[in-house]
Amino acid sequence: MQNVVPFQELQPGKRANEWKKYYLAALVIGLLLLFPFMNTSSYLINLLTEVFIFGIFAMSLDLILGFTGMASLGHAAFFGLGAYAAGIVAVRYSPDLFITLPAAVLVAALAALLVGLLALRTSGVYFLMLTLAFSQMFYAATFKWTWLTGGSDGLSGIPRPVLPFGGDSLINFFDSTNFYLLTLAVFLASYFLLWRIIHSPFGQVLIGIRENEKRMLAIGYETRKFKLASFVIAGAFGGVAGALNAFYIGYASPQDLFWAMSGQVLVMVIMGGAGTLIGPVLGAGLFLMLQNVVSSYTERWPIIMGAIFITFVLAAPKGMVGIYGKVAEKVRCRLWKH
Amino acid sequence: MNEAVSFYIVQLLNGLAYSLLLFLLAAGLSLIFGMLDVVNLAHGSFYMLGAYLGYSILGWTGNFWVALILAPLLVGVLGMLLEGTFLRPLYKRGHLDQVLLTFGLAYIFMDLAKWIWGAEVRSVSPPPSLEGSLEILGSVFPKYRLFIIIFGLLVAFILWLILEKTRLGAIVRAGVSDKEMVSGLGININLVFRLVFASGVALAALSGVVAAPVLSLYPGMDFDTLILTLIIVVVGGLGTLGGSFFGSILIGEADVFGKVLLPDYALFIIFGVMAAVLVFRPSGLFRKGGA
Amino acid sequence: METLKVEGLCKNYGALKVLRQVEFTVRKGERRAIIGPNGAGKTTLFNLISGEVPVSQGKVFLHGQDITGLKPYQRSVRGLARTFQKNNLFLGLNVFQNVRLAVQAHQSVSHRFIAKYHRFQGINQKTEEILAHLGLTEKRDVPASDLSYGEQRQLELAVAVATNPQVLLLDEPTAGMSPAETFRTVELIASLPKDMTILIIEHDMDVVAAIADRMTVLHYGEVLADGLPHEVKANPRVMEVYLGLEEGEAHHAGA
Repeated sequence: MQNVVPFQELQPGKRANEWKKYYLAALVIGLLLLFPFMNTSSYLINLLTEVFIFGIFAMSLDLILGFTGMASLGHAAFFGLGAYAAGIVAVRYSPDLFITLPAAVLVAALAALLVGLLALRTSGVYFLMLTLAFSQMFYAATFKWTWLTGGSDGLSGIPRPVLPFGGDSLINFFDSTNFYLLTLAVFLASYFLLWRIIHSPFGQVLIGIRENEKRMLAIGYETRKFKLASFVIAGAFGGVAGALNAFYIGYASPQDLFWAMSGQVLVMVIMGGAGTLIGPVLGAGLFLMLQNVVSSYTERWPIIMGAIFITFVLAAPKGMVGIYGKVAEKVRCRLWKH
Repeated sequence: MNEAVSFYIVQLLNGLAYSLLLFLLAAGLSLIFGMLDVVNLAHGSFYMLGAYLGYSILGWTGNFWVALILAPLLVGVLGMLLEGTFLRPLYKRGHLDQVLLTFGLAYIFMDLAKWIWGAEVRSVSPPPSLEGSLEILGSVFPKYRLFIIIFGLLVAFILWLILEKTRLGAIVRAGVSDKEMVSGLGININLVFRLVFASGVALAALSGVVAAPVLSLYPGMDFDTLILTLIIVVVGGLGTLGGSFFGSILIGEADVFGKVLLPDYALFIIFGVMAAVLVFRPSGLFRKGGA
Repeated sequence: METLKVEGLCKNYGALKVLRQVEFTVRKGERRAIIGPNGAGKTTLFNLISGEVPVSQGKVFLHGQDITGLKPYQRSVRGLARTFQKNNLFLGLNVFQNVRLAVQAHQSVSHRFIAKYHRFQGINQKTEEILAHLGLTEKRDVPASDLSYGEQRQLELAVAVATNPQVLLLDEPTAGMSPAETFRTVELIASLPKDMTILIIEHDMDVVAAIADRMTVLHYGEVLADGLPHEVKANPRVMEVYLGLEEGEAHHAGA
């Protein structure tokens, strides 16, 4: 395709930069693929597996928080519903990956549609309160419907997924390296899809809504429709993350839908930097590393996490990506001076 | 027939007592939002702190009334400190940051409470003078619940008096509708903010102490309560005392009757009420203005 | 042929009557200035026409269709656009992105959520054309927040024009601009397609004279006069209550 965008012609430096980005991405992906085969400890493989799972979860929240400008405080609902949907299907029906994962996506997206339809009748702080309230409703439901969810004990014995072809002999996901590669694949696919969504005409509309919803209405966008779509897509990806997590730990519990989980994913997004795709992933990485380290010394991780949360909100609202940008700018200024 | 009537009367009164506890919470949340533009997501945490502090003070002094006064005061002072240190730097930014901050505080309080008071369910007994029951319209009703109703109505009345009849109330009401005007009048708006935040969280704590003898203390009570409060302000509208009051009555009664009549679906009844309000009157039942 | 018509338009805020029984009809291609002292209800009139604020009473017709109950975006889809008195831009986006969002709004591509936006050449070209037309090409990659006030004002106009409207409402497009910028903006507005109907709120009488072929004078929420510029200027009531004030305003604006 010869569709060269004019402004890239105006700025030849930009094109070279773009290629650099592709090389860097290829390098990172290559390293991640080879990572488990470099004599790596299973501890690190498992940690990275978790980073991918929560990276998907955090990116999905960022689509609404950072790109559409809607604050949702109940995103864990879709994570948890995805976990339960995949878990229930896997336990009762079939652990086939191509059944469990779509089930998680479907349930999470439908729940997001329901919550979105109601909550988007309001806006601002009311929307925010409603997302939190509805997520706690789902949380309470998982307690109540013991016959389906196992109640407060959670749903245990969720098997790792199998592929519909070749059976266990082809790829055994009980092996941590294979499961790592599976989550990596799903993570990369999610990252790619979300990247394309953000860089599509639809994604530009979401960014416009974030910047100035009133003007979007004035120039002819039915913003509520786009906000709902964004909310549902985010819910669906949240469901994917939940399903992967259920496969990974073999267990789904009401805690997956609890507000504390919503807070946790918010911290990841804010620590990393809302409004970027890589930020939430880095945030998830930093969060899980901190959690691992701190938890080995003290049981009071939630207090420390709350403190980190507050510190970032107060001191670095743009997260690590924002800090990096500031530092890079300063360094550049210094270099120019000399 | 008679039994059925008395059953409903008792449940109605139960609902009223519960509603008034919720009203203390919703009024505080609504007041803080109206003045500071902050949805305080740590509101349930202050309720929990009030309840636990009340429990501890009762343990040390053996006197419920001391706890009733002291716990909200302590929580109010804590609120004052938190407002000055954490919330104030954020007023210049959008209110998302402030909401996130209170969310972070909720996290800390959740774990702090678990650390100090443990994870087991605790209960508080009512003061000796309010133990036992009374007969009302031929039905037996616990004295303490009657006390809650009277106390709640009294606090509601005092709040109304302060807001409508005093200079401070006039400032707060003016501040809710037009902040710039108030700071233009040469009033120390920072002090007003601080007082309003402190009173709001003290009301939450007061609700916690009063509720302790009827509702048990457990980890998670913070958010269970917060969610009900949020539902009330969604239904009733933020920033008005009347909205909080009628919203509380509606949700409180719906919850109590739901739990009695359809125990498995109680929660969904409340959410159903809220969903219905959202569908038919998205701007809230009692909210002024609207579109 | 009538393009825009308002009928018995009223707006009350409590006891305060901001607009009272405002009526007029605008023909296709007309350039009408809405003038009047501050507080006459000019911006409120625009808010009612564009749907930002609900009417208390009365009706708005666009191409003979009643649009009174429609939301702003629905009116935009039917060919109405406006600028705002206070710049109302996408401050975090650059000039090109600002205009492109407006171009995209009426191209039915906004549901495309996987295709890269680079590939929609028609939209990009249209955006470039509008930037060139409004003299913003040099600033295309500058974030809206980094523009000077006058440039932001131009972008405000560009975003409205980019929706390709049949009726364009301009709320003080030259307010706060330097004389050079004002001159350029007047030229720009004059260069818009002849069949585009334009309503303009303006205090600068030179701008009004250069653009408008009809005038409506609002005073305390009422239409005081309505007609050709020389008719309006000769209207004794206008002379009495408005042009007396205008001395001061003209002085202020002509600085």
